[in-house]
Amino acid sequence: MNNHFLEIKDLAVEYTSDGSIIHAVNGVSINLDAGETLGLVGETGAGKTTIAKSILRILPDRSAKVQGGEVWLDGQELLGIPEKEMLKIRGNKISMIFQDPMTALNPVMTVGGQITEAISLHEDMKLNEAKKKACEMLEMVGIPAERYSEYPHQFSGGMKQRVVIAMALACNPELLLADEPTSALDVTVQAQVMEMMGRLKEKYNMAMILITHDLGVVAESCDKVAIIYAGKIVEYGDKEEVFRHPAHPYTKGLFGSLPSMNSDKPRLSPIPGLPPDPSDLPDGCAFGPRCPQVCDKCRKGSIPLKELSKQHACRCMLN
Amino acid sequence: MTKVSAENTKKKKYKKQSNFVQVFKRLSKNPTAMFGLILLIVISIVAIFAPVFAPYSPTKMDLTSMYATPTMKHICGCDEVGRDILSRLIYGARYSLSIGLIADVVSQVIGVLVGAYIGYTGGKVDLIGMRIVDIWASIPSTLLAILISATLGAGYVNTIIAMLISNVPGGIRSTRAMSLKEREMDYLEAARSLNAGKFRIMYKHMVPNIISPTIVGTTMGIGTTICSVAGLAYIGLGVQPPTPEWGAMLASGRDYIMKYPHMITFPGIAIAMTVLALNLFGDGLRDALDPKMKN
Amino acid sequence: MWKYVVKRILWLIVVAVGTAFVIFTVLYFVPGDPADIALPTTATYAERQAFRDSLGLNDPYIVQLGRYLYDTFIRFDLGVSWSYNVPVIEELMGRIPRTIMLSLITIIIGAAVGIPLGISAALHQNRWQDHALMTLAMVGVSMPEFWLALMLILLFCLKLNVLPAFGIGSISNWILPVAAGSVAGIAKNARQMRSSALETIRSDYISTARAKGVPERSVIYGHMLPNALIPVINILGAQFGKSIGGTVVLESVFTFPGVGLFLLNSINTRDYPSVRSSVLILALFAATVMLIVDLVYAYIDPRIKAQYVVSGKKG
Repeated sequence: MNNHFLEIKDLAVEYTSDGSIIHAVNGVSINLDAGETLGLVGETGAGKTTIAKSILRILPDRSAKVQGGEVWLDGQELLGIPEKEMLKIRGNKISMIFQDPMTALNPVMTVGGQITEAISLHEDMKLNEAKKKACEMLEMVGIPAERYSEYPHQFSGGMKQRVVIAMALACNPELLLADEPTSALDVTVQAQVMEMMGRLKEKYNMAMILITHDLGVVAESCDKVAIIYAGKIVEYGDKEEVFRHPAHPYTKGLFGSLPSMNSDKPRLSPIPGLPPDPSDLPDGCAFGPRCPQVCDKCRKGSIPLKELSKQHACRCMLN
Repeated sequence: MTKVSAENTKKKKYKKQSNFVQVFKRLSKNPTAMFGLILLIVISIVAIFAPVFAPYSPTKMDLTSMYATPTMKHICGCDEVGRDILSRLIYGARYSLSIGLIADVVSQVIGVLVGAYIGYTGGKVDLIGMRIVDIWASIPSTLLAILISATLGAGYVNTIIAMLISNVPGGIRSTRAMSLKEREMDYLEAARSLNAGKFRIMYKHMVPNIISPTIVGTTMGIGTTICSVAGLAYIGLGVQPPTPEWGAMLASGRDYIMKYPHMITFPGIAIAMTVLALNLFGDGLRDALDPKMKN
Repeated sequence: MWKYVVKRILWLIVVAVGTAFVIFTVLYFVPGDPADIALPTTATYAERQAFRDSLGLNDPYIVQLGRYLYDTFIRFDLGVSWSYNVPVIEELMGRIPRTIMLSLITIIIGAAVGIPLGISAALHQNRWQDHALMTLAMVGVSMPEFWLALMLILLFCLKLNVLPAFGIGSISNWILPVAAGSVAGIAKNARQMRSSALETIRSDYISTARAKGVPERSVIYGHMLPNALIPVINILGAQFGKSIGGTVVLESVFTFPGVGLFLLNSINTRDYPSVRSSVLILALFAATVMLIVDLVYAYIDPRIKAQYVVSGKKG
């Protein structure tokens, strides 16, 4: 019954802040097979990072609460297992790369030490062997092993992100959650890092969820794409399908906001307005207030995710 | 077109809620901070209108009630010459509060003006300025205050001067450190590119962005100063008895600690309560000014 | 790192000379004539002048300053006490260790008790343990130290009669001064530690550590704590500078025969050499402690260390 490597079913997450409840993720379902890459696309605050963090169960436990849903990885349900079991999965079967390499490394630990820590947590190795492996990992991401005992502040942003990647891949994870791994980097460095990640993904046959707001990145490195708006998937499917025939007005809007080299559109068509307040979502379609094609049907009830074809689904009344 | 105007009104509405209102709104949600603020207001009102609130004159001696322990007639008892301690505390609030307020606010203002200048200018000015400040601050502040009070002699104004001189280097230091970081910020670069004058950039653009910690520091600092001033008075270097300053009252009560402990209990409670109010309010103010600190 | 240590020690010497300069200058303007204090009231003008000449008090400011600095830092001579007529150093010798002991014990207790309390408050954030600890800490930072000392004397010496209120000699003499002096430090450190811990725990690298599968205990003690301690240690030095002034007042409350009490007595008798020397000793002691704190700070924070190891880096 669980024939996918990763299956997320109806995941819902809430935050409480100053007494009001923020609906960050509202019923997200995702399937992913081994070796596949899913692009998770959406604006800031759409709930992308929250989805990744809830897979790993590292949401801040005081303010965030998983309200419902299941996460199946390789036939094992992750949200229900004890914390002790989860420790063995984090960093081992599932790894995560965080958005800002500047702050993702512990400033008072050597970079090598931080990689070694990840290795010795999960692999039955002597410290020396773990260190050796850490050096290998550094070399693999293009950092000379001599820099093992340097501190994060001695590295540039791109180099730090390489360290973070080395750390994430140190235990050969089967699933990699990459949260905007390149958005804090220079464009040239972005390309290098993405290229390297692609290579390593091939090498280890990892599944990957790539969180981004950059459709260009998705076009280059993903197999599937899920467009998130206000904590819901509004469009989901094969990259080719979604890119060729975007069905949801929001997806169309995203493409409209991109400058294009080969068409002679006179100007960009940005999406008007701002994302809704997640503590006070509108009834019906959350995108309704910004949608150019909004109609009365959109304004009430919940709108189902409708299959357009086998590889393509969309949450919109227009289809 | 309608959309644009809708957005404009939204912006206006946002703008209308000034920073101050927002901070106060956040503050008013914090019960301990409000408790501190109310306590502070009550203490200030009592101090300002001391003649209205004090049951007796603070200087009237009543030989029949010498050393009187607290009763309904004298809630906090009487001192060695029969003066009503509560009345003296109420009048004393004027001294303690005003010394704390003046010494601390003035030294912070000087600290911000000089510190922003040094930090923003950088280079030689920073180097020389900071060396002077370092040497100035090489004597721990309370020690410097003791030394200066000893030099100038006791008294209200001299105490303020002593506290000022010993507090200023700290203020300069913290503002300078913040300015040093802030001057690299892009918005100041933007102001420079618009050819804004140096002083305009410093005091109109930069200072408002680094003032929050100073405001919190000033609030808490008043409390620290009140404690230090009381300590100075206690060792005979601050305001002198028979002035009803709280520290001076403690100093004159120390000889009677064995038989009449009420003479030192109540002035201390008055100091602690005032400082507590300032600290509670300062804590709340910090949270309100820096919302990311609250989770 | 050694370059940094040497640099800081050299700076300590500059601070020492600067301190001596400030002390001398401030005291130079003290109104009143030391001859009035040292000589009987019947002394003639000529006798007074002779006294002033013998001390060099009629020389210009700059000459007196030069002589003072020369005596203090080249000949290591702190002068002769005017009121006791013995070398100041003799008076101070017995007192210095007591004051150093008192303030060191105080600062160590303040850190050793305050920091764990702060961590525990942060780990129980918004639960009753946190509220109780922070309420106590708030009261602790709001009480004047010397008044707390008076209250302790009242309770333990006068009411319960279990501890001595003044003097020196047995361990029991130290209990109350140390207790009164530690409370503020404990409270301040606990508050600082709590807020620093809460700020650090939200850092991205804490998420990274959790995502690696580091157990929560190691996340807290291995990743959060070393980072959260940095600002706490940083203010420890400054806090000590403040508390040295408090020690003077505390010594007065407990008639504790340390440098501070000597300083206050010397101020009352206008005994300049004694005042100068005791302030200088206290300031140097504070500066030394701050130096040690800074070195520890630099040692645990590689970013600070790097500023001095790698030259040319932005500081």
